[in-house]
Amino acid sequence: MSYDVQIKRHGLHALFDLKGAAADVWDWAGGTLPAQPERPNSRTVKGELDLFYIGRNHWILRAPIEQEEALAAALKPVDCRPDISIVLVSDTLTFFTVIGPQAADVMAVASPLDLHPRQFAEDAVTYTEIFGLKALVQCCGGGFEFAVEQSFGNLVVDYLARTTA
Amino acid sequence: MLKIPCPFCGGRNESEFIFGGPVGANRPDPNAVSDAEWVEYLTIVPNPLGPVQEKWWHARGCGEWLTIWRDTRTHDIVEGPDGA
Amino acid sequence: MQNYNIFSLARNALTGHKNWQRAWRSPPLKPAYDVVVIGAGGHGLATAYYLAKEYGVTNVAVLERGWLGGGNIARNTITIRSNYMRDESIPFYVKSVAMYEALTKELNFNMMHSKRTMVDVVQTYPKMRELRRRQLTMDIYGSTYEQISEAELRRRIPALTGGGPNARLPVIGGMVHTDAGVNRHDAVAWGYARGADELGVEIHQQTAVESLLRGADGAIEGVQTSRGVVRAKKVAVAVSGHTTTLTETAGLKLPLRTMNLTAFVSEPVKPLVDVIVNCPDSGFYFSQSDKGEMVIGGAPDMGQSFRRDIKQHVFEDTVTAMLSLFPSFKKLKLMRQWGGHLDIAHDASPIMSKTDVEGLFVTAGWWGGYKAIPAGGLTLAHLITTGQPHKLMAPFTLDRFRHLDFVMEAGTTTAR
Ligand SMILES: Cc1cc2nc3c(=O)[nH]c(=O)nc-3n(C[C@H](O)[C@H](O)[C@H](O)COP(=O)(O)OP(=O)(O)OC[C@H]3O[C@@H](n4cnc5c(N)ncnc54)[C@H](O)[C@@H]3O)c2cc1C
Ligand SMILES: [Zn+2]
Repeated sequence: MSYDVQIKRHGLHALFDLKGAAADVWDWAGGTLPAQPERPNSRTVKGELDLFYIGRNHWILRAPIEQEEALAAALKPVDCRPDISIVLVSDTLTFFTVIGPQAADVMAVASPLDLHPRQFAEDAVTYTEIFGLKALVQCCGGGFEFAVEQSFGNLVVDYLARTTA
Repeated sequence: MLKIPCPFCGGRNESEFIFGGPVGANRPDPNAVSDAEWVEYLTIVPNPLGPVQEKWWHARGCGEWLTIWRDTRTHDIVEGPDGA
Repeated sequence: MQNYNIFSLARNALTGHKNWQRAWRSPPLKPAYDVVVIGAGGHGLATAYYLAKEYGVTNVAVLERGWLGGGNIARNTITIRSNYMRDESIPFYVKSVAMYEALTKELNFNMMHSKRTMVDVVQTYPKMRELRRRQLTMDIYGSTYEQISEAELRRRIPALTGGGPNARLPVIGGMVHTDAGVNRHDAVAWGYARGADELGVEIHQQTAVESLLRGADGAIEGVQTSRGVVRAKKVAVAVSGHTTTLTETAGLKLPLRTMNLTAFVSEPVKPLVDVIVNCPDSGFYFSQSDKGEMVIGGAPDMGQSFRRDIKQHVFEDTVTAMLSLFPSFKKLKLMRQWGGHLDIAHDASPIMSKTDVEGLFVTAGWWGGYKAIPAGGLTLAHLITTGQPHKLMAPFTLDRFRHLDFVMEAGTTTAR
C-alpha cells in the first residue's frame, strides 16, 4: 500500500541537552531559553528556538544550526554552574518529517503512541518508540516530526521506505 | 502488552520500558546480619501467585525509574507508582 | 503389563484394537506411602520410575492436580541437547541425552527419538567467542560442538536467506551440536508412567496438594491434598513453576522466580529444515516436526508470571526476528500459540536437593528441563533413597547458595 505523504530527512540542528532543577537551569540560562514549559512532554517557542520538556529536570533546546556557536557562547556548556549540566549534542540526532493527509497512518505503523489530536496536543513533544527505536516525536505543520539517534538514520530511511512502499 | 503508568508521561506501552526486576528486600548492613540472612538478601525475591512489586525503566521515554504492583496471574497493574 | 511389539500390534489389529489394556491403573488413594512425589510431569514420573526400578522403592504415590503429562512437559519444544557452558552442567546433560537415546528400549515405548543436530546461527563476535569457549569445555566431557563457516551454514539450512552482508546483524558463522535431537513429549510422560505403574508405583490424577505437613519435630509428615491427608516421611516436590507456592506452606524460602516461556507452531509444510535451528543473537529457535509444522520458540517475558498464554509483543518480536533471517517464512500461517510458567533459580541452574525440612526434597529451576528428565529423575531417586546427592547432581543442591558458590549458566535458554 502506498500513502499520500512526503517524507524528508533533515540536516543538522543545533541541539543542547539541559539537566538540573528548573530554578537552577533558568537562573543560568533564562535569558537565552524560551519560557519554561509547564506540562511534561510539551514545548515552548521563542523565535527560532524550541524548548522540549522531555523528562524530569530534563530539556532539549533546538535551533537552526547557524545559531550553534552563538548559543554555545551564551549557554557556556563547559563552564556552567556545577549543579546543572548543559551538553552540546547537535550531531547526535537526525530529524525526519512525515507530512501529508496520511501522515498519521504512517506514524501509526511506526509508533505505539496515540498521536490523535485529542491525546497528543499541538504543543506536545515526547520520547517514545519509532520502529522499536527511542525517538523524539512532535507535531509539525500538516504532520509529524521525529528524531532518532544519528546512527539509526539509514535504518529508519529503510523502514520508512518499506512502510510506504 | 502492559500499559504502564509513568509519573512523568502517563500510561505508555510496555515496549517503551525495560524491566528492572522484582523489588527485593533492602540491603542490610552485611556486618549486622547472619550469613543466612545475607544469603537470603542476595538470592531470594518474592515469587507470589498474585501481586508482585517490580521496577521498570522508561528507557525509550523520559528515562524515569518507577515501581508498580502487578498481578502475576493476570498481568493487571493493581497499583501504580506514586504520582502517576 | 502388556508388551508393545509387532505381535501385540498384530493381535490387537485382528480384534479391532478393542482389547488394549490401560497403560496404568487408577487404584484407590491410600492414607500413607513411603514416598510421595508431587507432580506427574516429566521429572515427577521419571523420579518415581527410577525409585522403583533402580532403588527398589515401590510404595510410592505420584500426586497430580490435573492430568498426567499435562503441565509444562506438554508445552515444551522438545529440544534435547548438552551444549551447556559449565563443567558442572555438561556431564549431567550428556548423561541425560544418552539416557533419552536409550529410552525407547528401556520403557518399551516408542519415543520417536530423532537425533537431528542443532545448528546455532551466530551473528555477533561476542556470541561466537562464548560458544567457542563452550566448545572447549564440552570437549572435555565428550559433548560435540564444532564451528562451521557461513557458507557451510547456508548450505545446511537453505531457508536461511536473510542476515546478508548488508543486514544489521550479518550472519558470521555457525556452531554444530550433533548430539541434539527431538522426541515425542507425550511418549516420555506416558512411557515413564506406564513403567512406574508396572513396578507398583501409584499415580493419582486430579489430586492437588494444597500444603506440606510438618510434624512436631519439624520433619515432613505428609501432604494435605484435595482428597484428604496423605502421609509420607519423604516428599519430593516436582511441580515446575509452582515450587515456591508449595514450599512456602512449609515455611521454606527458595531462590526461584516463575516466568513465562512461549512457543507457537505453523501449518504443516513439506520438509524444509532437517536440523534444530537456534539463533541466539536474534532470539528465536525452531525445528520442523514430523508432521511438517515449524515449532518456534522465542525469548522469555522478563517479568514474573504464572500465565500460560503469550504476550502479543513477545510473539511479534519473535516473528520479526525470525523473518529477518528466514524471510520466506512470511508465507507460513501460524496455527497455535501458547506459554508455560517455569521457575528459574538465581543462577539459572537447576535445584535438586534436600531442604532444611527433614524428608522434603525439591527438583526445581527447570527452565529448559525437558532434556533433563531422565538424568533428573535418576539422580533425584538416588538422593531420596540414599540421602546423598548423586555425583552428577552434587553441584546443584541448595548448598551452593549457602556458600555463594553459584553455577551461573548461560546455556540454560536456547534463544539468547
Ligand atoms: C514454551 C516452552 C518451551 C520449552 N522448550 C524446552 C526445550 O526445548 N527443551 C527443554 O529441555 N525444555 C524446554 N522447556 C522446559 C520444560 O518444559 C520444563 O523444564 C519441564 O517440562 C519441567 O519439568 P516437568 O516435566 O516435571 O514439569 P511439568 O510437566 O510442568 O510437571 C509439573 C506437574 O506438577 C503439577 N502440579 C503443580 N502444582 C501441583 C500441586 N499443588 N499438586 C499436585 N500437582 C501439582 C502440574 O499440574 C504438572 O503436571 C520448555 C518449556 C516451555 C513452557
Ligand atoms: Zn516516562
